[in-house]
Amino acid sequence: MKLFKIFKNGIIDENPVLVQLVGLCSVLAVTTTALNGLSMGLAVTAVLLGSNIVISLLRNVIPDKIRIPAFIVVIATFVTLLEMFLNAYLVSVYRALGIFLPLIVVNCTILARAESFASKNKLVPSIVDGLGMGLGFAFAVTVLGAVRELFGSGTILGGTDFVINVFGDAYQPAGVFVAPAGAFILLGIFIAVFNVVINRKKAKN
Amino acid sequence: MKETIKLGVTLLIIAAVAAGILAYSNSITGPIIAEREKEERYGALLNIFPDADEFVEIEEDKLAEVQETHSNITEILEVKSGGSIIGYAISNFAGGYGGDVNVVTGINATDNTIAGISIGSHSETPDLGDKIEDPSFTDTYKGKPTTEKLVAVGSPSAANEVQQISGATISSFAVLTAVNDANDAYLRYFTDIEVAPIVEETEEEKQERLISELFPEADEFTEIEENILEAKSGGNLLGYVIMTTSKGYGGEVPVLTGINVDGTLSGIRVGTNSETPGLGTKIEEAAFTDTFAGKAATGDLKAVASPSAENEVQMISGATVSTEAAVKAVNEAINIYQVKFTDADVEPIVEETEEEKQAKLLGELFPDADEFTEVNENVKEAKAGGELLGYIISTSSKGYGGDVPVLTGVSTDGKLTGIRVGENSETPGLGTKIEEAEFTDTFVGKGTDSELKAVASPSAEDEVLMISGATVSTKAVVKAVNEAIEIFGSLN
Amino acid sequence: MNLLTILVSTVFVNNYVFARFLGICPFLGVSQKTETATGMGLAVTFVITMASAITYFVQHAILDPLGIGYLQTLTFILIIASLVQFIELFIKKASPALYDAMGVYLPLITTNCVVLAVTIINIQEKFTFVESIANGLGASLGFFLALLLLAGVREKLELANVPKALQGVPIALVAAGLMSIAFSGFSGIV
Repeated sequence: MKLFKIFKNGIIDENPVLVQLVGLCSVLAVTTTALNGLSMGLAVTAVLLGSNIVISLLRNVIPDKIRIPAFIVVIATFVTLLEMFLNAYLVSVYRALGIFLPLIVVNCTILARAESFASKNKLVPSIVDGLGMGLGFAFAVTVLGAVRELFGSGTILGGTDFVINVFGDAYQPAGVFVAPAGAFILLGIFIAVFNVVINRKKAKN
Repeated sequence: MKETIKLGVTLLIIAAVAAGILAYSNSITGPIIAEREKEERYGALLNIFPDADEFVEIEEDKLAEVQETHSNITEILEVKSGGSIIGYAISNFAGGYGGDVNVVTGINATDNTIAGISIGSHSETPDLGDKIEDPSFTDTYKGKPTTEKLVAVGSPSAANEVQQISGATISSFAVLTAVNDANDAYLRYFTDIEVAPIVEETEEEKQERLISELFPEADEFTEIEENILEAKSGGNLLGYVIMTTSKGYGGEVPVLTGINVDGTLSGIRVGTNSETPGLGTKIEEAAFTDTFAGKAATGDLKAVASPSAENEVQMISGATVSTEAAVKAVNEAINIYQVKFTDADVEPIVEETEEEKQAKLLGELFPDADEFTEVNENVKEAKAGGELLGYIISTSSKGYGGDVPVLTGVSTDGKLTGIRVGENSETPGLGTKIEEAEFTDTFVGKGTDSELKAVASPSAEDEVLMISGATVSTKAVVKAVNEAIEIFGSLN
Repeated sequence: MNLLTILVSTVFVNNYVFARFLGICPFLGVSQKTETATGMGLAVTFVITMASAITYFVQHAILDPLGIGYLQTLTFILIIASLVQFIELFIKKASPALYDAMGVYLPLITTNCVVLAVTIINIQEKFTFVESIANGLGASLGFFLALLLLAGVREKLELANVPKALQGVPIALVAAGLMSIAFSGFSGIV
């Protein structure tokens, strides 16, 4: 099941955030709540899918020498389309992502996948790769967002209609978690934990 | 080279296709976004003008023209419905308690009334000044005419009255000023209604105007002495204009007093001052100054809530200090008139020098003394016929507004003869009560065995009066006196 | 806005790395040694300043008048990519020594969020031309500062006893987090 391997690759073995360590700007900035993290994760997945599809379809058409600029054009187009879409139909998400929405363009993940996978593979594998990487990214940022939200604001699913005040109103949130500092530190710990888990699994096998 | 061009063109094609796709997408999402942004921006205006469907900024040139005379206006929008103008929205700001208050005044073009107002950004006190955002306040502006100057009162009823929030005078006044200003701009620039031309006065011009208002029939004003003018008409003397100043709440208050040759006041005018806008500045208004006209120039004018007696004038509620400053200045002017221009047997109010003031205070503490000799910097001996009566000890302590100097008189048998408080910066009308006899008298006869303390109702040997509401000032004096007592103890 | 205010703000108070989370990838990738950090810092400063200038003109002379603001993301990133390419070629020809020193970092700058972010922020904050340059300079200096500081810390960390799981990037992130807390002490200056 080669396709499954590609998918799994994106989620675990080469998880963009936890292993490849790319696209970290967005990761740190937007993971103040689980919902924000999820929104960013899905946004990136959408762009990644779009760009992987187009680039895979055009892989024999785009001349090699101008491939990087061409990829950038494609990615930027999808990002702009996403921007327009969100601004018109999902304004709250648009605002939550803020400047990091256009910055998806420079999210190394997308360019890297275009360069190393989509431009060299057929359509279906490219779609799967896009999904895998995108969801791997989404997984990492959502979990990070949830942890930061839990300790930093005392809520889960804040920003939705299902917000739960986990520790009750008396909880004094540890603001540091929601601040940049907390993001850095938690991500560091998250990566470390992830490494340990993966390495143990590998050792077992 | 050819390949480079080919590559360049390919890239260009890709970019063009991308741009095309984006343009198409923009045509769909663009209007939706624009619509939403407009709603956010104009939501407040739509509350004021429910029938409006369009808001258009007026031309830059026109706005600049308006801003020349109304510099606080930031934006003017034409409010349209179905293509025709139904009103205007003028956005400006005025100084409030915590900073600028932004107000948007919506005016109906059809009948020149206020459609409503909306409060924008401000830094007024939460739960107090910010009540200007409440509908119960802003609604009182709805329907008011723009052609009359609005005034703020506790219970608005007349056509030109709007709400003044009790306890948030300055915030309310800020909104009032902004709205009146917007109305004025509207009438001047967007209607044909006649408005009094805006006069840019210099200080000199203002002074001249105020003087001529005191004697409208005069054709000539000549300065005969510093701060004293003769008012003449056709060579005949009508009266005098005397300029005095007095310390008010925010600083010096200059007053022009007009006195007719028959010994009655022709009126008073208050010049440029720093009293609290909307409150202390009411001393400039006719409602106050008119109560002086016709009063006899006998120099004992007093301000009360309901003036009736010959020597009573209007006390402005909530602006006691400003009122008293104005009255004091007028009484001084009357005194000058009496001394210079009549035979009345009056003592001129003379500005004492510091030394004279000091000497007077020393004399008050030891009325029988005929001689004061200095022992050291802070201690003087009071003697009568060579015999030592007691000491006057000078100390000071930090009060509310600065240092408070105190003179304490102690007789040789260890009892206080009294205290006197010197020049200080305590709150006028409150902290300055430490200068009054009602307070200082409670020190007379107190012993020097123990420290004095201030209480609400003094009775014991070591208790003096605590001035309610002026704790810090009182404590400063008590501290200074206790220090003086200590010094006295070390003298023996 | 006062130029000095912009500079102090972007270097300390709103440091692009510690407060705005931008430029993290190169931040982690290039901060192992102070020499490499310096090279990257200089390269970034150069690119950002030029990009600020060029994008300012493009926005005000082309995008705004024609009402095609939605093409901002696309044009800006293309300008940056081209600028980087052009600078790389230029330096390679003009000074091979300089190219050896920092040329290798140049391609990385295209995907450095800081560059694109600065150009977008310049427009969002409605800066004038000079203010845009100041913002760019401040951002680069702030980034440079962050980079140098972290590089210094990481050099020391190499010699420390770090638990295996945390070695490398994780501990660097924790260090960066602590530095971020320190930098938050600047807030309130402007």
